[in-house]
Amino acid sequence: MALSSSSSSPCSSSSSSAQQNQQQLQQQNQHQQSDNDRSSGELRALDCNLTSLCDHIQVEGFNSGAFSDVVVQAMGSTYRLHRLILSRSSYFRNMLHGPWKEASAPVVNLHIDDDNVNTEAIAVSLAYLYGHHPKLNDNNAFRVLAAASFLDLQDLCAICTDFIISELWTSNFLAYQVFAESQDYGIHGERVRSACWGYLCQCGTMELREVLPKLSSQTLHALLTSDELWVPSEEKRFELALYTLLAKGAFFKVDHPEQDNLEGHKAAHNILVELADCVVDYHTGISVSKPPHAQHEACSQTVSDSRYFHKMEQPASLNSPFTNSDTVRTSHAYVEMRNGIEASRMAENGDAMEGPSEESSCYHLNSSWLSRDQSRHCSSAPSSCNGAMPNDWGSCSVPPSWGGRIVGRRQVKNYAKGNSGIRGEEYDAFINIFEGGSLLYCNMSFEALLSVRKHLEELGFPCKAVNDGLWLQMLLSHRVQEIGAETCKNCCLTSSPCACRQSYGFSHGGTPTGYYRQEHDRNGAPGNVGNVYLADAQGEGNGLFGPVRVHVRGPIDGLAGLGRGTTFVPAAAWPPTRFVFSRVPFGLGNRNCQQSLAHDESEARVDPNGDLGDGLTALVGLSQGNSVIPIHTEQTFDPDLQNRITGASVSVPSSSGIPVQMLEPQEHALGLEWDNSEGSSISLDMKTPLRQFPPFRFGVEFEDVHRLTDGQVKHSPEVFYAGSLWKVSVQAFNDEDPQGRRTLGLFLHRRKAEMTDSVRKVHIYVDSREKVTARYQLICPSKREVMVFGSFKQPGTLLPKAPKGWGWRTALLFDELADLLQGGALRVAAVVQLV
Amino acid sequence: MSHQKKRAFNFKIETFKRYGVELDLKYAKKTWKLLEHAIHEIYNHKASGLSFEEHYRNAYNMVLHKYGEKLYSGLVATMTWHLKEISRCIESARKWGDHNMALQMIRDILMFMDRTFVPSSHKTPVNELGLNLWRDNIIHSSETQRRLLNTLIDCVNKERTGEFINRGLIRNIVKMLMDLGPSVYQQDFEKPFLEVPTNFFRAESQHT
Repeated sequence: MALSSSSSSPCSSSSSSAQQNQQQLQQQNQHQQSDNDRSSGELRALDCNLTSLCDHIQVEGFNSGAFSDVVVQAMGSTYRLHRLILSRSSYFRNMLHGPWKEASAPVVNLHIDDDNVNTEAIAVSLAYLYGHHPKLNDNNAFRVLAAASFLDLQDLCAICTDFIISELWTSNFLAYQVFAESQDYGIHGERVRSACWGYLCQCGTMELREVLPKLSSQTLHALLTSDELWVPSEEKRFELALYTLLAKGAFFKVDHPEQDNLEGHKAAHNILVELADCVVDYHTGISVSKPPHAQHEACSQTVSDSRYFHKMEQPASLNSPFTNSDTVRTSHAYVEMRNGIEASRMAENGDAMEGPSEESSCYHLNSSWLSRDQSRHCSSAPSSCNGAMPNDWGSCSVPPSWGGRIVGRRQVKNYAKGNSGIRGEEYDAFINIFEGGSLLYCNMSFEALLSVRKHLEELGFPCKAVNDGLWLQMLLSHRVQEIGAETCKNCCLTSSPCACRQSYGFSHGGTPTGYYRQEHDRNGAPGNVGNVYLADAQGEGNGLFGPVRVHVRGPIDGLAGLGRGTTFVPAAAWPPTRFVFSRVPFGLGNRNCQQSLAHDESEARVDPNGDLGDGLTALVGLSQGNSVIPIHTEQTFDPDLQNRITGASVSVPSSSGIPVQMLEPQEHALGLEWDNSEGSSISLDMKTPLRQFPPFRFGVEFEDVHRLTDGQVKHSPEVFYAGSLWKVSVQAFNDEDPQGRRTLGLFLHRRKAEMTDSVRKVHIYVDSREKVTARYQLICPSKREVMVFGSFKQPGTLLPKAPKGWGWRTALLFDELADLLQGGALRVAAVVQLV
Repeated sequence: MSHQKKRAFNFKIETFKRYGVELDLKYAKKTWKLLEHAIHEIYNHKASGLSFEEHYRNAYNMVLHKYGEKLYSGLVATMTWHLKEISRCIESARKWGDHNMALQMIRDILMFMDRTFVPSSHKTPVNELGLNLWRDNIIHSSETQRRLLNTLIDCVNKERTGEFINRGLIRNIVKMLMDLGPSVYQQDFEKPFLEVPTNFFRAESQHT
């Protein structure tokens, strides 16, 4: 009793205190309400006051310069301004506050010699200090950005970059790309640069194709080798690189005369003549080699491209010395490329070249940015980089040393440089692109490889990477089939860490058997099982390297002939196959030599089927021997059953899964073993793990994704890689986002390749596994950002069985789709690597 | 094979012949000379004649045209040189004020570098750099460190025994050590300083 009373009293006291609290709260609320009333009224008055202050400052202060206490002169204009307002910018604050000469001066002169800045941009920036909202357009946004950056107006910089990014189109892409690439405007420049990069990755293959030859070689190298570049296939990527190389070469030749306008026409004529000669040369070269078709194409492409560029260049070259019209801007990316064409030509054609030496004529010395007067700034050309406007910083001046005719043209066929007229640095970049292991030749079809090789050989590239690609392709197909054969079908693990097999070994007669049998009875109709086996057997039997045929050396030696000794691992160094394959079920085992297995298979298939009524126990009895992989266990298991057993714990299919995935590793080897930069370091032997092979890249496009209704799915076409067919799908959701927004899911699907008409397509083989582990990235490039889902640092994901995919259910928000689509289509670049 | 050799050779020649870069480099050097001169002037108390506009613009142009690295390393070298000079003369505490003033001015004209180059290349901002250089070159220089500490402790002891000392000086020095960061203060002064009075008071207590 005492206890209860003592306990009740604090109770009551606490309740009373709670009441008091409530009352207090109510009172407070009332207070607050009245506070709110009052403050909102005050705010309204304050707003009024602020607005009138703003008006006053704008109209009286900036527009009419009343009570001005400092005069700012910049780019030919005079502004009567106010120290107090100017000190909003830390540039002016430091200037007017520190122990500087300007601190007490009544007039401040700004000699801004950033060519991106013009009078208007300064005016906009100063007006911004006085509260005027900047009016931006395509022509002044980057100028205002430059001015604001100079005056250290970070907010204005942000406004400008936002504008630029939202208004980035094919028409002005080049201008912004050059703007951001050639100068360092800090984080704002960086934002523009990354927007350009995203846009380039998204549209480089299609809309921005024409722009590519005008980009710097660094950018091109980064782009053409990047996973983030959306390109439908590796073959297309190669085509794009080849196109760029040829167009760039042609571009050099034709672009050349633009530099000296006196001899422009003559020189242009010369060049065209020479180009024609060159092409003839080319043809004679081809007629020696066998099928000239592809080559021919390349040549004509060169010519047409060059004409195209020539036409495009013409107006710019006419205008540039005289006007500052904005058309000049379109040409200004060429700047760097023009440099040293002579040098390269001289260098590789070497022997005979006459004309002024390069050192003798530098027409850019007449102006130094240190001493340039203001009038120059006022009339400064639209861009710092256009060639017509000498700019000592822009590294764009080229001595007009054209005039020599190159005699030693017979050498042309030897080098890509000779053919394409590209100078050393550019050539290096392209050597890196084509030969550096960043184009994944091993994922091209055999036919494509042949044509690629032909192209590259005729351009004078060593083709080492292509040859390596062939090796890798063969090795990959072999490894995939090997692993497929070796994989326990039950748990999707390869034999060594597979736990299922051991459990059979220990379980015969034990409880686990009952469990398995129950599962099996429910799922596995004998016929079904048989079918599965049939498919497997066919697939592996027809594969290029069926697991039975161990004589891999023969064909590989044959291929080595193609490699012409450039491959880094001699064929003789290949070890013999590690694995002994026994497709022969135990009951039949040892009966025959392996050759005859193909005939036995039908019988082999029948036998276990007969036993199946009894279920697993019989088979478990058979498979006790652990030394040889008991392949027939896989025959008896329905793949669905495997899913039941392992799927629940290991994989979550996309239709019922959690939004963001990634599984725990079966093996803990993390990190990206395969690396772009050292593609040639892949060791070629039979033990090479799959994850050391280069990944596979493909790009897909989904039209009208914003029209998807909830739950609706779009699938991309399937592509073949490593014995499987891969595709990406998008699906709209309205119930995945915690905040209830509509989302778009991105998923990767994989299924076993099917051997359809496989007579011609040598490279098609089948990965017989039902589920494979892969790591992959799905990448959506856009000018807003490059969204990357997934990581190659991950150990890998066990992809669910065929119709289901695996991915991210909340990858994209519908609200943001507008920024991500290109012409209404969502472009997704996928990178897949088996592990 | 011979082709390949030849090509490699040609590459080298071509890269040397890149004009614009050379030209840019020339201007970058010239610009840096101007800035370096300005820094010297600042340290020599002749800053009042300097134009903020001009030097800010010079630094801005260097960074804009990607010579930020050159500017930064030049700054470090010049500042280090000046601090080494300062460390030779005795009155470091007075020079501290000068250094701070100079640092402020240098930071002002290099503001654009602080804004763009420093974050993107993960360098130390100018102000912090100046303090670090002061610490490494003055406070941690072998002669100064011991002497500074001894003087401080000496002064404190003197005052404890009733002598007159320059309190303003002590205050300034301690403030400087604090400005350089708490770790500097603790390591260089606080720890030895706390040991000494222990001895002092122990001695005192034993006397009585």
